[in-house]
Amino acid sequence: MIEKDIGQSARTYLNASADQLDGRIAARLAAARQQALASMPTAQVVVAQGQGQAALGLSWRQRALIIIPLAALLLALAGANFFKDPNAEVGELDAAILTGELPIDAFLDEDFDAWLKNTQ
Amino acid sequence: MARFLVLLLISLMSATTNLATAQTVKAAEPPAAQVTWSSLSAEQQRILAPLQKDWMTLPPVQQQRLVSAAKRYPGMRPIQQERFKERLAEWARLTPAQRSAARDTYKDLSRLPPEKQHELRERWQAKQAQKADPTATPPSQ
Repeated sequence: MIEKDIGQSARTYLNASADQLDGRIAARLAAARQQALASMPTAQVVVAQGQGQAALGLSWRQRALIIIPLAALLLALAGANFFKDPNAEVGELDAAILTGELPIDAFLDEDFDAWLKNTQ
Repeated sequence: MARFLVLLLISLMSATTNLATAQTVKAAEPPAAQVTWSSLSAEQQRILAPLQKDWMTLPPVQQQRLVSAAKRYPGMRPIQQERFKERLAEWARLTPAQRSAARDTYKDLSRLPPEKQHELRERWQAKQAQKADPTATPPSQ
């Protein structure tokens, strides 16, 4: 809230002082602003096309900082999937059945299966 | 840059898919050699003792799954350890199709909210009680 109040006060003072500017200075400031705005996109295009930088203005180094961790993450995920032991997953499920509250018979019982499907 | 990132993502996802396919192919390969009883550690032999007599008659995939299941034994509660040992031989006697059906049913059950799971367990217990004593109250429909 304090920052907002300070901002409001500063805005009031700046607007008041801008109104008091000499017409010639105001015109020069307006022209400079227009010039700066006009040159902005041109500069980006020149940089992008001439120096091999991307449209977003990122250098190769910045790109590498994004791409390398991303690639490492995806490769790690792929590697984890590749080296995962499918028997271990089924073994975990088997252990859960063998230690659960219901006996094995329940999971092979047609009535139980029908109740389960009705409940779903 | 955006196009470059999209291309990179596509190529990496393709690589991931290829690896996953390779994994599927690997899983579909002929099963590895049998796990001999003597190759098991003393701890594994103790846990899987109910299967010692029939161990070499089990298919290698089943042996490996049992070894994986046995790895969880030390972390189980005493009641779970007891159930594990009691049910082990019965589990090993089932056909692969029966075991697969039991896994599917277990997965379906575990997806239900706890109160529904409890309800079904109670219904099953009531059915068993009814079987043991036909004069007992039948499970509610």
